[in-house]
Amino acid sequence: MPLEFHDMSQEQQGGKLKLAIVGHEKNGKSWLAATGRKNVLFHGFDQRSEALSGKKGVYELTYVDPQWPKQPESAQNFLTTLGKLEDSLDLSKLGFKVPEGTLVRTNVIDSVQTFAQAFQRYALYNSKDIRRELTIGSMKVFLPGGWDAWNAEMVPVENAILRLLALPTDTIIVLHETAEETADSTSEKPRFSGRVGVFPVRYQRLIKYFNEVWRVKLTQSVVNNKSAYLPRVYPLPNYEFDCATAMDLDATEEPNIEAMISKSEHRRLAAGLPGNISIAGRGLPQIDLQSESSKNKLLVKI
Amino acid sequence: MTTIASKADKPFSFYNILPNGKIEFFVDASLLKSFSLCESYFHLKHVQNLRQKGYGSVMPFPMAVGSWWSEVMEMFYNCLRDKAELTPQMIQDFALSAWVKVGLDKSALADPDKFATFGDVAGAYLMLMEYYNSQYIVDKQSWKIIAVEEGFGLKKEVFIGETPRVVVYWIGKPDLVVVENDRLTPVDHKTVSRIDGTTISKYKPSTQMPGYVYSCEVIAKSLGYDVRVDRCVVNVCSRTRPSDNPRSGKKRPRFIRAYPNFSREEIAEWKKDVLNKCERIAHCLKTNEWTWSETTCHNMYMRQCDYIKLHSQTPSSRDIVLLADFMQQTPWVPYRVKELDD
Repeated sequence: MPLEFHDMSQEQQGGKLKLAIVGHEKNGKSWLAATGRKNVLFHGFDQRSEALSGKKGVYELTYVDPQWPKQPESAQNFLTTLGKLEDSLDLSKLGFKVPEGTLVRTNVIDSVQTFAQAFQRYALYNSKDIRRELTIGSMKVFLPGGWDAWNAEMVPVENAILRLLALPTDTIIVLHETAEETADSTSEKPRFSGRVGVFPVRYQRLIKYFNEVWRVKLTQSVVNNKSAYLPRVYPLPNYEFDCATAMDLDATEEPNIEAMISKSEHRRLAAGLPGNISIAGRGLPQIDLQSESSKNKLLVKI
Repeated sequence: MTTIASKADKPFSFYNILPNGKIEFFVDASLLKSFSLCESYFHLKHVQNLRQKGYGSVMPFPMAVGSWWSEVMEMFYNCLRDKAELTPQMIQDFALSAWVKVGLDKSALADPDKFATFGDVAGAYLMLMEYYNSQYIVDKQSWKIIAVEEGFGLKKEVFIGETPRVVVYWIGKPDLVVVENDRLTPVDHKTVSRIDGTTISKYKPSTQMPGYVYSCEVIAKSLGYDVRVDRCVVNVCSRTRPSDNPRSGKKRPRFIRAYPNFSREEIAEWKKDVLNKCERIAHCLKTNEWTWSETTCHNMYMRQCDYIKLHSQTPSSRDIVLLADFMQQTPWVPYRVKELDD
């Protein structure tokens, strides 16, 4: 392989935003994700689509599993949507009543916890050996029976998120947070390190795929001379959480992704550096999905 | 060399030389896997069709149980397809008739310890009964059976690609094709020694699974169904019955399902890989040079290569070994096509 020389100060980053948003419930994670580059497509597993009502350029596909004894299908429906997105990013082709040519620019998984539960429900329903069953009246509840059940969930979840990251769109995942426990912590005597971590802890493994890891937290602010707790974004690492960003941002930001991208872009341009994630989608690679196979161009007819 | 060829079977060759000089291939996952393991093994097994004498009657334990499982699964899902009610008595009949059909008594004589651990016929019945208890209801509710052990590809249904040197078609015989929630899904049955934490992630990357997925979509489209097939089910079964009282306190599963799914890009990559491999096979056929991969001599599916006895002798004496220990067999026929037979 020949040597390649890169002056990193002049290197442009990939045009795609790969963002993991971490935060407590009701701290504004979904709201922040909805400020992504339009059109934003939410893959909603939390059944909370009303939280985003009134947002322009935001669309949601809500995945709902039928009640027992029917087979759960939301995980498989998501994979079908993913297949359709790989063919075309046109929202009209997904079934939305929008003009043809309304393209998805940002995909959001809201939230990873419920997304993973959908995959687990499907696996538990189909494989009796990996589950425990609770019978409540005429209904059965399936619970994971051990590590095989967790594996049956984690493998397809990671695979699905990597497929989503391969799309020529921004990708945002929403993760919950939890207080990080120390090594000597037990369920009887829990001990905490004072830091926060991702919940479920097993999805810490997804963080490495995302350049941007931002924490959202309700923070005391003064608005019109009145104190209020408002969501604020923390893109830089601090003592509580190992946030990460490749953008030029402050320690605390207003929750607006497009504005944050723009701010970083202007700062870099002012400093004579190439922009990282371009303003208003300028940096998004224009990929013609029909000729996607050109990447794998063969000397042959396929 | 001894030639045993049944006159009833038309000899099948996985390659033909076309009038324009190109080589036309009909390949499946098992063929390409053999080539990837060792070119020399591939040459002896699939081009020369040489087999060890007595090999067919004494299958090793994993292969014997795998063949038996394939037979019983075919009967099991044929019943589901025909909407016949399965009963424990039928399960017993399936287990026994497949045991006789596959000739497992001979294999059990050759490998008594492993078969004793497995439980012989009783162990086989128990395995199928446990599967019935675990999966019958759920599969009956969720799956509409479309095809059981139906072969495809010999009529050139699944075109993979063409280069200046080769034309490639995919062939196969998926264990099962089902419709689950309006999605066409191929299913493959696998037997493994035991199920562990890595079992469900073993089916990606794979040559076999994308082959089934792509073929199902191509065939469905040729029949007028505009469907997207992008996933399959691997129905995994452990040959070893997990302990009821494991040290860890958590009983291991005997049956588990993996759901590999494939993007368009992955399918395109798979097609490219199949073409590349066929190009290499074509090169080997033309030059008659088959590289010997010594790493597989002692590790061919956890045992020695069938041809190790041949390759461990000095080249001049290999003809003697060939005559003594090997015979040429009729090439394996993936499935019968009535029109082609006629």
